[in-house]
Amino acid sequence: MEKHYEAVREHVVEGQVTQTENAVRKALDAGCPPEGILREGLLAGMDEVGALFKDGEMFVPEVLVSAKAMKGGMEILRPLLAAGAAGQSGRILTATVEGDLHDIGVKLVGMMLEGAGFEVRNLGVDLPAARIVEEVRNWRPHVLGLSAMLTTTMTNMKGVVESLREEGLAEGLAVMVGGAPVSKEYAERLGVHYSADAAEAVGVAKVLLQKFREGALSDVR
Amino acid sequence: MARERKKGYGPKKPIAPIPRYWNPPIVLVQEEQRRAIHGASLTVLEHAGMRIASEEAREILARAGARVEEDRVFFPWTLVEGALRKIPSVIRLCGRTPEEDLLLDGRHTYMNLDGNGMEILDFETGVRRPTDLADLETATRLADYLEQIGYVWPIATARDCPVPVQPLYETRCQLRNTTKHVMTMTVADGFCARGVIDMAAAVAGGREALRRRPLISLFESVTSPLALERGACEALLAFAREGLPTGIMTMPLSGATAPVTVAGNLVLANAEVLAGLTLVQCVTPGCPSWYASCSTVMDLKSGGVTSNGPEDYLIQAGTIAMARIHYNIPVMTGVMGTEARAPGWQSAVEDSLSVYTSALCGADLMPGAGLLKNATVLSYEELVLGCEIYEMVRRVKEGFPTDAESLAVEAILRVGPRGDFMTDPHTLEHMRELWQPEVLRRCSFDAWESSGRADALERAREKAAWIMEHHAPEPLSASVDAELDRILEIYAEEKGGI
Repeated sequence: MEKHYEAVREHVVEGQVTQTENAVRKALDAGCPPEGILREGLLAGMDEVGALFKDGEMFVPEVLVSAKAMKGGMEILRPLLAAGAAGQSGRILTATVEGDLHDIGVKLVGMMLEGAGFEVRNLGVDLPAARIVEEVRNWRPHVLGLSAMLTTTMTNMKGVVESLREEGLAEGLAVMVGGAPVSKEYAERLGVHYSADAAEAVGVAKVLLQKFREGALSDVR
Repeated sequence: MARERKKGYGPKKPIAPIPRYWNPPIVLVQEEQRRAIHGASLTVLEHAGMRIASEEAREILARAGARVEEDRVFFPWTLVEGALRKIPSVIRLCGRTPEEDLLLDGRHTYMNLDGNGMEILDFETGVRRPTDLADLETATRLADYLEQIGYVWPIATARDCPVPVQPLYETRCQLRNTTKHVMTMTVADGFCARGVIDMAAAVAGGREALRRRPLISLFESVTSPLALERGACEALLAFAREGLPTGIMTMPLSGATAPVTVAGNLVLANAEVLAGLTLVQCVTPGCPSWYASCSTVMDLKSGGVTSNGPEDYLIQAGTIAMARIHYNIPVMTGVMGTEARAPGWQSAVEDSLSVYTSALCGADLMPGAGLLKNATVLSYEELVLGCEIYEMVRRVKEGFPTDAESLAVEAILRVGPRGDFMTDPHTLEHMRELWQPEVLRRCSFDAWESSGRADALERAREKAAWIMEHHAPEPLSASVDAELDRILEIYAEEKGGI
């Protein structure tokens, strides 16, 4: 079994999408439990990637292809995982707020989050608060990630957060904000979570999910 | 000669461009390379095209011969090359008075006040905080005084002003606080573009006077890769239709929104700028225009931007080579914008190398001085230090004469073996041609220690404080001043009376 997990890990670290998918299938054929492949293979591989990234041994684009490999493997496992295990990774909805057409940052964060095992959906750019709220209502993510590149559009984050509260959707939802003009102070004023870059965002999301799991944050799925 | 002891820094001096006399540029990118980049860009424009998110702009391009499919515009080579031939190779950006006009002729390099910082290292407390209109006013006044600053961008975002008309607050502030040329950079739609044109016309004395002496200009940014969004198109059309100077800026990020190689970045950036310039020239053939790039590189370790590094400097050299040498049109390349969080060794290295590269390669315009942390955090000390760097580079770019007087054979013969030149007439005649530092320190170790180890940073701080205290810009007439208020009010009214 360990041999199969190791193969998955290796292909994730090497950022080989097809090979990772094949290794996952092979592991399943060999009778490895999906939870084990996820934990000991895919996630363990990404942990290694995370450590190498932190040491400066791996660069952002390499981390992103590893994340793609991880995601490929995850797609195969998702239908097979027990409801709890699949949900464990958490769902994250991301969007660039109204008036803002920049998405390179939110794409980067999204891919990094996928690499950490989260299920990520990106709504796109220039999204009115009403539309974001609607998507939150329909999909019920654990975390909503809002992005803005300009000081002028950053202020639209406030409208989204207020709408979520008015609609009673703030309960059971953690909001994360990021982007060039966004600061820790601004996030605090909105009562939401801040991260300075993509790697930090993954750390924040992990902490938030842990809180959901421990019941420190209510999970209204 | 009666001598007065110098008090403070004296009255405002004329703008000092690089160089004061002509020296040919350094060519880092050769003819073969330029041809390759040009051809590759045309291939991109023909086969990938650009997303042009304005129907009006698409129609203009379609009429000129471009192929349009939904929001995508494909540019034939002939259309782009034809547009390039219409761009004037020499343009003038005007100040309030002719003494402060900038001549973009490939022989002068001007540096500007950078834009648009979101935060400031507070001058009193040193604490980082969001910028406001008052910061923009102070910074613009400093720039009005500093001879190394040729024109201004809104360096501090007026974050305390209502968002829909924020660019109008910024422009009003700039027009009031400097007589130098105002280049707007936060205008991102047709509405605000019309607003700033109205304001500038009020200062110039009408639309026709503004066209003759454009004391305001605008550039819009491409959204890399390969998109010109609707607001940007509308603003470009508004300026180009008035025949006012209209630039196209691109800021692709190698490895993220552009290919990771230097050449790939240049190909993409070149395609994007050529597409924008083609649009401008289709609107108004011969419209004064310029090629602008603040291309940089993704930081592989964070996903952020580098702003500085060898590749950044090569991209600057390549940009200038394409625009000024290959196409012979005015060019602007982003310089400085250090990644450092405070003025110090890193900012000095990065700011110096970028200014050195762009100036020696022959950029017409170099944005700009005054911002830290990838051009996001304003610091007055950083601004003054940047001006010192510019001065040193200016002196280098000037080169040196080799006429008989400069060769100084007579003086050498006069002094002979073992003599000295300290009191020789030749020394006295020419010593004031030597550059003198204003903020860099040259002193003994003891003097340095007894002054509390004060360095360039403290001297920059002192100078900034002196300017703030002593310099007031030439005010606008009361009637023009009131007219600016009235225009802003009308536009604010249109946005619901904010």
